[in-house]
Amino acid sequence: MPNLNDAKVILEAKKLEAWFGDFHAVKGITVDYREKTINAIIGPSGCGKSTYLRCLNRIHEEIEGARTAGEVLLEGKNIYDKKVDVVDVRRRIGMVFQKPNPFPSMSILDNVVIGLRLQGISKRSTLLETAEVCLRKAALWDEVKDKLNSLGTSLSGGQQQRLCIARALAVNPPVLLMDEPTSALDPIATAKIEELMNEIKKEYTVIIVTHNMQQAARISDFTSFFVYGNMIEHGLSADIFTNPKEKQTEDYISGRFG
Amino acid sequence: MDICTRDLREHVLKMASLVEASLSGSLSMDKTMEDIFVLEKKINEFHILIDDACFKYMALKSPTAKDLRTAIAVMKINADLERMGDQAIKIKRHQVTIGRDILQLKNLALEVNLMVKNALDSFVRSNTKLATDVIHHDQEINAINRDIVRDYINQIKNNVISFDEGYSIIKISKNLERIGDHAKNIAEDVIFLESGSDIRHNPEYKTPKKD
Amino acid sequence: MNYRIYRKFKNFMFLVLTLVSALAVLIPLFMIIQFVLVQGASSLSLDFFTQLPKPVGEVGGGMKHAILGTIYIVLLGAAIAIPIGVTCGIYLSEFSKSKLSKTLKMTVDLMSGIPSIVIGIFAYLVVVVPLKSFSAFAGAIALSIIMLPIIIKTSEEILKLVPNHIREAGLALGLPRWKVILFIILKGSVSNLLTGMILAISRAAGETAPLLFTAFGNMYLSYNMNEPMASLPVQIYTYAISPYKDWQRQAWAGAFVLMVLILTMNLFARFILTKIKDKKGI
Repeated sequence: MPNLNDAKVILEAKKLEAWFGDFHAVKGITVDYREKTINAIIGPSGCGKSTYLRCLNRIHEEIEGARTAGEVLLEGKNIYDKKVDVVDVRRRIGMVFQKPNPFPSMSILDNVVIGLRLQGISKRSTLLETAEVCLRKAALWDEVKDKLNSLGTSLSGGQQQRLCIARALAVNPPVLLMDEPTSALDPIATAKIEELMNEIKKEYTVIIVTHNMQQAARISDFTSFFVYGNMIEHGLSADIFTNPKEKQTEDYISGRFG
Repeated sequence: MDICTRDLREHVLKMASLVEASLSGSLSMDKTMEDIFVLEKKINEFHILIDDACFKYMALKSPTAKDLRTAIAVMKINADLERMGDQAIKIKRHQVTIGRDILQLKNLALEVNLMVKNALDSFVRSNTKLATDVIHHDQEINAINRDIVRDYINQIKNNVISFDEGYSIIKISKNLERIGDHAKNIAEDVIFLESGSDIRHNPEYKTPKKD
Repeated sequence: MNYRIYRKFKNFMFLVLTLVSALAVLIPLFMIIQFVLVQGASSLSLDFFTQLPKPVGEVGGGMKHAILGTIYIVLLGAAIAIPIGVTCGIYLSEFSKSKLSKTLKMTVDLMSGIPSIVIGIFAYLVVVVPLKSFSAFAGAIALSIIMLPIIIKTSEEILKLVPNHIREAGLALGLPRWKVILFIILKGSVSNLLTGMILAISRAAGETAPLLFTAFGNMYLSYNMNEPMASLPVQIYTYAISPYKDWQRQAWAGAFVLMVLILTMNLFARFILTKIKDKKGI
């Protein structure tokens, strides 16, 4: 097995802080993420893990009263730099949300290619090709190839979530953030998404927030443990789940927390 | 971290082939002590690797049902295989003292090696019937061992052979019998793995198989 | 035992009360429809839709000019109100953080409460007086002021129905905010917005007071928006208060046509709305 710690760093947070109004949700997180790995973030509810994730592609700042400090370096460049266009950042750091959210009144095909189309790519053959590639990566192609023109919202929950993954992949971001992507899905749909994550990590770096510890253990290469906006521990999942260094981590993963 | 049960099984098979080589080498005049030690070193590496893999597999994948039984069975089989490797070394030591082939031991070794092979085959093929045969076969091995021990104690008493030689032969016989026990354990683990039922310490399996 | 009967009696009384109230609402509605139909039916003919009014004393003639005039003025009003209203709705739903939007919301609420006659006078002072002529254009302005609050309210509410995570999903794809609003949020709600517009139009189509002071009305067919123009409500008003029996009958027929027109639009809007709601639970 290649040593995961030797892989190239693609994304790093440096003393990243985030607030909602007066509430200090994320308190000085410093961590780096290796290329083509799956990184899980676990922790009790309200520990700031979702907020932290939303800082990584600057979607956090869309909320009223939200504020951040510190740096996030994508391939060495600070995405919070004043010269950097936020639109460009989000194009390179994609996101999949907790609730499957295909765009309403839009066909499956349109849902996948909307990102490209609104970037000005209108050649139909290119769009169709991208749609097929991305739907295949999201393990959805076989299920929808005969009904690409039906509404995205007509699919089942699990299919919708995979459609959202395909949609995020279509703009080809090197980093994909996932905010509890399976918490609204049943075990079979969850298993399918976990399976496809193993496939997409061959090309993309995935950072996933999950409530499900077993899921973090099953799919991730690295795991971070968050409590009250602090990162208690970050390391190889194989170490975190067999021999955590911190007592708090041990208590949490053994189900003795709080 | 993508361990799966197939990987665990593959590790076991690789280790088992080393153990089988070590066993057949232990009573062969062609193989030296060093040859066996080389094998033993590799076996020990697998011993650690498999336990670690099982540990991580259980910690990370939270296996259930057959996957969980596989992980547990593999850990136990791993321990039995390692013990077999150790027995092979002891046999080699005594065999070096004797310095010649003993027919009765050769025959017993053939039986035991067959038993080991069948136990591992039952694991590979998920064949519980074969595993059951192995368990019944253990009684025969024990009987042969008793015969050899009785025979050679008499020979020592009557000064037919030297004490050292007789003692070594008895020890080898005992070691072979122990290997048979480990093979039986493996067979029991296979039955647990495949059917989920624990048949250890069950009087039904104590008697030799009736044909 | 007694208590149980008493309780059941109270329950029953309450049911009766609610039923009576429901009927009290339904009865006038049906009475209106029946009344208008009975009174106007005799004048309803193909001529009514294709003929212009005949001079006083001659029997026959129709309201072609008023029907077309209503459509013309209402569409003109909608053309003014819809772009402004929808844009304003977008502002309220998508950028609701600012102080301006709170003021705007209050203004819109106030606007929907202004009596239509006041709006008519306002349009008269602002458009008719400076231009020194009653005109269809002034009528359209007055109607657009009536439509505006409805369009703003409905489009704001419809856009707010789109869950926030849809917006975030758009933003997370690396799309600028205006593209997300225009091509994802708005596009996804087009049919809902259409419903709001139809409701606004149907409300404006029935207004008489603002048109009295602005479009004024005439007796011939005109498509010039700088001149007075006939409209159904005003025509009905003029005919109804006239002393001629034939005109009064035609007023009833006009009322019937107007009602059917508005009712159809309403039903159509509702039909679209339920279809949308069935199709997807956004």
